[in-house]
Amino acid sequence: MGTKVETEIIESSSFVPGFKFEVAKTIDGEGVLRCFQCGICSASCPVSDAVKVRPHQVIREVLLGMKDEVLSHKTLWVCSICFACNVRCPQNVKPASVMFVLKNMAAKEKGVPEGLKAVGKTILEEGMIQKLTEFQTKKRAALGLPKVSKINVKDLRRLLEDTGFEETVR
Amino acid sequence: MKYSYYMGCQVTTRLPNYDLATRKVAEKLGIELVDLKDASCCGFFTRPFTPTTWLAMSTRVLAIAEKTKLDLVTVCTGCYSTLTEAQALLKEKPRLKEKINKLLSKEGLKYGGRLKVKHLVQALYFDIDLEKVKSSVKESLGGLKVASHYGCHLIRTPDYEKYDDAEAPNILDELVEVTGAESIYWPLKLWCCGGMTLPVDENLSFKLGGIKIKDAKNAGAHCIVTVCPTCQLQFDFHQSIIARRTDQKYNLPVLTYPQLLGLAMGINEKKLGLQLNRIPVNSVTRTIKSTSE
Repeated sequence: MGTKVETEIIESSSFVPGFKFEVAKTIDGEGVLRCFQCGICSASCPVSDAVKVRPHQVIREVLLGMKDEVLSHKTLWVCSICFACNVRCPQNVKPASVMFVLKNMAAKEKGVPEGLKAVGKTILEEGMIQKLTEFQTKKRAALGLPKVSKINVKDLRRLLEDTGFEETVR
Repeated sequence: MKYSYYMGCQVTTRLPNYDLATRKVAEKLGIELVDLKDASCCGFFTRPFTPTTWLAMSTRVLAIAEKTKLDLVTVCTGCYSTLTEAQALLKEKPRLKEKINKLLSKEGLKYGGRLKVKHLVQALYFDIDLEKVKSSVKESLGGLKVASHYGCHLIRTPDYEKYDDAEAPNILDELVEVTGAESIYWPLKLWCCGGMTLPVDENLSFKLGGIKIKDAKNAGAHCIVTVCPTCQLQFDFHQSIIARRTDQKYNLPVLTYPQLLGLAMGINEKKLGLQLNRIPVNSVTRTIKSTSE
């Protein structure tokens, strides 16, 4: 891939100056202020080539206060969560963890992508990311595998409600 | 050795072969696996939605496991990563732990913090001991070239650093080599399988999967060996569709580690669920037979 440097003028009047602190006060986002833009996150990132705004650029935009832009980037959602950036970042920014914070914010303000939302709904209904089908249960039995212990979905659901999960899935 | 056994969602539903081989291999090594009751999701997939749901769900599993008074073993790297990260966080932040425990008290659960969580490969390598695993091998897999794939959530979890090097891991390679097989060098060995992007961008996910499979194949691998359900599904279940979309023919078998070890222990293929692997494993068993003759 060739490197093409694009320049554009950014309108700063829409910046949210406190945005970086909003991110930094969370558990997963506490490292964001330490970023010095070395770009090793983007260099290590398996989806870097597939996104318009690469991980280090997302972090830079957070620091600049470009809240609306940041929360609209596809980068957040296609992050393959491989944690290569977390391991390699010399400033311990934990970019993949920061992405979780940004996804949480985007989930609240703009919603979660449909494919992921479907997984969320299954968790709500089954207590697992996939429903254990009749077919699968029979297959396990035929292989001589023990019966899967039933999940107490009612109790689990209360936990999901208590932590605000249910609203983001709707 | 006795452990509580936590499969995780994907092994429970889609990979009975991984489960089966794990149990057979454990039995041979004298490991007793006690199935965890009410084993809900570790919560990893809720992490993009809300800040604390994953932690509450993980702690729920930890609290249930703690009741068994046994260390927990999982065959899923995602569960390993999520559960150990939750443990570290709860240890570091007592007030947060109190808050989560308060939520769990509604169903009579409480997490104390004494539980040890391990991935199967760590249990095999350290608790059972590599030498004992080696002595369980009855039929050497000499001549078989294996592309060992660790899975990101195993090696890049902070907890893993207590055991191995995230950037140059060794545990799985050694576990593969005690079977007599060769764990080959492949340039993209530590690269992500792309499985996690599947719910959001299928094309991208399959593209990443294809890059890995192609790299393993080019390096001369007879098969890929995984220790993670997401990676197994990506390389095995999705391989034919990945191949079709990129106009390639890979036919590269993908085995979970217990299936490989089971073959070396001389366990019957059917008892390892190898007939359920999507890409036929005949070429692997043929390679093993032809070199042992």
